[in-house]
Amino acid sequence: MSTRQRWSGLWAVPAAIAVALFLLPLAAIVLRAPWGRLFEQLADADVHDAMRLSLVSSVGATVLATVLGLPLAVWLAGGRSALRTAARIVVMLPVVLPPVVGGVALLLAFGRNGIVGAVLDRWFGLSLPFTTAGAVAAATYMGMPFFVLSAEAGLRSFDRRFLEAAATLGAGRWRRFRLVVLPMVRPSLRTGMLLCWARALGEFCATQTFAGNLAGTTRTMPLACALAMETEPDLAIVLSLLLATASVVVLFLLRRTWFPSR
Amino acid sequence: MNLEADFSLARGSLQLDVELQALAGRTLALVGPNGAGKSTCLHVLAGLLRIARGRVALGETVLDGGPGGPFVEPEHRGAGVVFQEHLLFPHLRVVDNVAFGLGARGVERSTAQAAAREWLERVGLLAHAESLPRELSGGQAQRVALARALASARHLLLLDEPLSAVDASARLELRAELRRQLDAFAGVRLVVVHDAIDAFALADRIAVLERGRIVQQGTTAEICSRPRSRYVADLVGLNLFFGAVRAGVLTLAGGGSLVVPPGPDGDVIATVHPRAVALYRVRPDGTPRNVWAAPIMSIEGAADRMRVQIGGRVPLVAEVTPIAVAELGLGKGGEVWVALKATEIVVYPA
Repeated sequence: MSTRQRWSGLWAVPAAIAVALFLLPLAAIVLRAPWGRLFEQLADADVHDAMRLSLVSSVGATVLATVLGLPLAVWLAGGRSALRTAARIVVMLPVVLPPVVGGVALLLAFGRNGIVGAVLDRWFGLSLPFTTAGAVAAATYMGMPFFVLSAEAGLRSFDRRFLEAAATLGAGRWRRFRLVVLPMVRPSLRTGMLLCWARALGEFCATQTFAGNLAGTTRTMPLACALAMETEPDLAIVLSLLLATASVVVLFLLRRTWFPSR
Repeated sequence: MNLEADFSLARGSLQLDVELQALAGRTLALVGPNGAGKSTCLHVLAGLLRIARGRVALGETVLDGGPGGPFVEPEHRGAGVVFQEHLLFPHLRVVDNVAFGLGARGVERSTAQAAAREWLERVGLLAHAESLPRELSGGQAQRVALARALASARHLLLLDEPLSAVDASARLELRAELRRQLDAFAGVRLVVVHDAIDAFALADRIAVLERGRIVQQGTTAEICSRPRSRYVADLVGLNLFFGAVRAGVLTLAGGGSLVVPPGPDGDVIATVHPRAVALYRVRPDGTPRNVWAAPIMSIEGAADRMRVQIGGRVPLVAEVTPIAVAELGLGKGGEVWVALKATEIVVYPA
């Protein structure tokens, strides 16, 4: 219809502006990157530390989120109750919470004088703030909701009749879960892990507030990037380029889930 | 070991009160209209649903003793189940699907794989051992599901409409093969079907389930010759009448009457084969004792046989040749003379 075509023409203008809004900053990073001195910048020991810490905190957060989040998702997907709804709200909170509030909250709970942290410190001599473990904890706090959300959705849409079939074939509870449920919901788990990892990799504010900004201990790539912006802009661009590349890779891996071809 | 079940259970609006026996080495077909509770029944026997009252036992073992009673979990029943939608695990290769039950019973992997291949060979699908279920046709998937059930079944084989997902051309072949496989299994075989031909082709005995109750149970011959409900009569293609006999005259529940062969008085069921119903354009002379005029409600049928639905006080179906339809000038809405010999009416106590 001609009316419709004219309309889509009108829509195209703001739509193009919107796309540009997303595309231009990304293009700017690529255009302004000091390509000639890329490896020189990356050879820096502080950069290596930041990369290592980012890897440790993001992978550590993904592992923790999977280990703790899968049982949670199984329980959440197991039915509907007020308790489950309440639990889901609490778990989803970090998705919408300003990250700095997350950091403050973590500090109040697990800091040296926090309600749990004080006990951990006194009894076990354990302290999370200003340690790499603290950075992992902050990244887990911010990333796990994405895993739980995705895993629960996958488990909810799982056709339970396959469990019945497995039961009649002699498979007990654990075997059914391991050999039927897990492989069949694997795409949802993988999506959740990727989203969690991406969120944990980008984690900045909660980490800085809770774990601090200590070179070699808690200074991950985003923290190093923000710091470099004030002293060494080229390094900041290189770090941004790396983080942006990681994000693009995540999107590429999620292409089947998020961008089905039809 | 025979299966004895006598149980009650409510599922949504359906109240199930079932009593049935299935003998080892025999195939029992559970037939009934949609929504009668056939699948629910099968789920109970498989242990996927618990009963609200009664007892399900296999030989001496009580599988389900009702609330508070003993209960054998489905994974310990030694049953093989073929589900309506076959439910092959989509992430496992065909051979791994068949080996799944053996693995679950602790059979070593290589042994299980070898046994699974043997089962696949028996159902003619060894060539597809490495395929994924989504690469199979409906009939092939159903065969794999059968192989998977047979591989793990020990005492009990339960099949839920095993031919429903198969197209008509594959059906004939699969039906014959299913019969062979069923006969080779030594335990109790129970197959849910809604097609009469499937029931007669596969089973030795038939139990008819209607609205949650077993209304008739017997050998295929008994069911065929003496249906006790409208559903079964339709299933085997007979006209069925309920009524009372007094001095050789059957008064139907609907009001009409028929002269029937001599027999004791009382409430009876009577059947008439559609081919025994004769149709005339004018009132016939001669012997038939039952002659009446009635409207034609509908005519339908295939190449060699037409089914003429006749209304009036004794509604029935007559089966005639297409030539007869043409010669008599039969048409919907027209009237026809119906003649029925008393000797063609089979009468038995209700």
